[in-house]
Amino acid sequence: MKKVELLSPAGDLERLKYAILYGADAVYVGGTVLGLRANAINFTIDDLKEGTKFVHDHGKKIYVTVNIVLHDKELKIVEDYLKELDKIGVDAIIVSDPTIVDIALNKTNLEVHLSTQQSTINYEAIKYWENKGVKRVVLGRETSKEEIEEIRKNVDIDIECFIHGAMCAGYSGRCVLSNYLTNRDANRGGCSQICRWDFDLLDEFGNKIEAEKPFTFSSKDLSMLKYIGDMIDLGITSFKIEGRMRSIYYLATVISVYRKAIDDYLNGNYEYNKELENTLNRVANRDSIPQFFDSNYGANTSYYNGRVELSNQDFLGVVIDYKDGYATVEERNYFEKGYNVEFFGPNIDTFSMKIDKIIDEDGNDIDIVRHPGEIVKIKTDRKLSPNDIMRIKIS
Amino acid sequence: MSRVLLVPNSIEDITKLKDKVDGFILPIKDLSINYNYYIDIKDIDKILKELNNKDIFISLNKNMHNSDLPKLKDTLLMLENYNIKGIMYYDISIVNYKKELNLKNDIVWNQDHLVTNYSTVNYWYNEGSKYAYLSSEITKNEIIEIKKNIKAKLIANIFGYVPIFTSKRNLVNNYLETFDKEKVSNIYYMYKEGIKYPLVEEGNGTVAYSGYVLNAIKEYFDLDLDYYVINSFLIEDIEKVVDIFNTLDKDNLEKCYQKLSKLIPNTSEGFLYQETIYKVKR
Repeated sequence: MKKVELLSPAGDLERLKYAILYGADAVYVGGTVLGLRANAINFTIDDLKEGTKFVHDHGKKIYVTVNIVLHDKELKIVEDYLKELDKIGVDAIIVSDPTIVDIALNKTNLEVHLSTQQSTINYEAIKYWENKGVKRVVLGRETSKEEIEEIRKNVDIDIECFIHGAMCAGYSGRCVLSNYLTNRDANRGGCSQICRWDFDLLDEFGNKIEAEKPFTFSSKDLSMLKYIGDMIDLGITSFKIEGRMRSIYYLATVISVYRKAIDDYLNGNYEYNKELENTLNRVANRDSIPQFFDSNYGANTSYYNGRVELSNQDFLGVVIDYKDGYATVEERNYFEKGYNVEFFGPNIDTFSMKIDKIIDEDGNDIDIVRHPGEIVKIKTDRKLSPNDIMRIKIS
Repeated sequence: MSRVLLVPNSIEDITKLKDKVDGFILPIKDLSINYNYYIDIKDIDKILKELNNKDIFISLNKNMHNSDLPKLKDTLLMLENYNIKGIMYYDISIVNYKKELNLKNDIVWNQDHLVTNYSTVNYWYNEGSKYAYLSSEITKNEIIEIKKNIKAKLIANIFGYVPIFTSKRNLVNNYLETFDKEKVSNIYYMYKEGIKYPLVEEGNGTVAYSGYVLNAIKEYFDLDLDYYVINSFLIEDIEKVVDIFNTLDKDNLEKCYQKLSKLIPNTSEGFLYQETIYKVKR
């Protein structure tokens, strides 16, 4: 059986734990320096130690993004930081700047993965990095199925591809819209996502082109669920989910779906179905498509419906305990008696039920749970475990 | 002594201005991006013969797909027959080809926005890149620091619109097609808060340019780099711009700056004196 890695983002320790528990084979995280999500919570050295221990205790892997494009003033901290990561025992670093590649390979024992920021999309470029000692290349998102196949034939190196999440509109590393429009450095973790902004489009004479929606670079998101079998057959090593700033609910949902799809395919019984796609769609901000994989990247890939990043109300609560037929649930969104809900989790088959009984912390029967963080008990038909998730019934 | 290179807008620019600049950056059709004029590889022999005494850099700065590699390899081998200063690259396949094919032509590390520190300039120098084409998003002080710590020769933009976004997608066409409008030109603008950003869409995707014309002439002597680049894209009277550079000396720097600002009102010194931020205070 082929080994395929499902690689999840993790913006903090809580998300790291959920990613691992829900089926990720590896997580990628950012430290507090030299990563490309400067404004995420990120991992302190202590967090990295704790996260690495947790991941390794579960037999999984942890990669740290050190994918900033260096300026002179950052040079002095690189070596010490890499040595610290080496000492902690992370499994690899994800790197874009060759200075960091060089230091990691020559002064530490760290395994190096080349970041998608280098937009590597052909086998000759990969050969260069392979010869240098890089173990894995994260391909540029512009590669098609046929291109990946040709790359696979020409190099032995591990190949990592994105399978799900938001897309850059341009070649990674080749966009500094953020620098020019907001003075925030896109290649040093400050990207202000100008590609999601609305603009007027003017013709070459300066006349505004009137249309129903404003002009934008915005792209739909990526979803490779339909092609997961093709990707496994191509010999891709690692399947990467985008989104270090995403919630635990998002991660648990997306990882669960892809975990099932990958395992089913490897066991010979995967069938793409709308139900799984629908589950993914419920946590999506935008429509999702295969993007460049099927070489169909025309008008259908652009997204003109503006920013839709509403708080997801599907996520109702997290199970923190289970005893005597009652799940103790920490509330995340409003729910009430009579709601049709679903429970899903790392060790259960997803099931649905109607909420018939809710008890508050003082033992009183209540009808409504409205406060985020509120702890209640819910009578359930099946046994649950801590970290299982309750959501509104999807289908 | 610094030398001036021109990114031409047309073959006419080359003919008209060849005696007024030290050299040219010549992009090759299908292997370059972010330009408004490309040379068919079939015509390169004739053009290079005409520019025999000039400093010529050939730009092969596209993100190369597998399907580009045969043409890229042939072009690199063909260019071995010419006296050129260097080949500008974005894609690392070119570094690999230089090694594999033992190519003699020098190569220029030209990864647009990634050329931002001296250590990585030195890394690529040791890999055969004798020139580095600096990012336009770094400060004057950073350029000085880079220059102090390297052996490579440096190239930097000094005048013209700066490419700030490159995509494989045809983003203008996607929009026009979605809303049933006709595409009538390769040049459009995206407009926000009083600023127009040129957009060019041709066969290889979409390029967006800065909303201003970079004018770094004031730093010509202070930085004293090996090559400065004037980009003629969308500059109506490029000859006048070149003429101003040709009159430049240390005593009339401010006057030349004023002349350029008057000729092209929409200019800026870019990031020379303005550092970008990436950690947002909360």
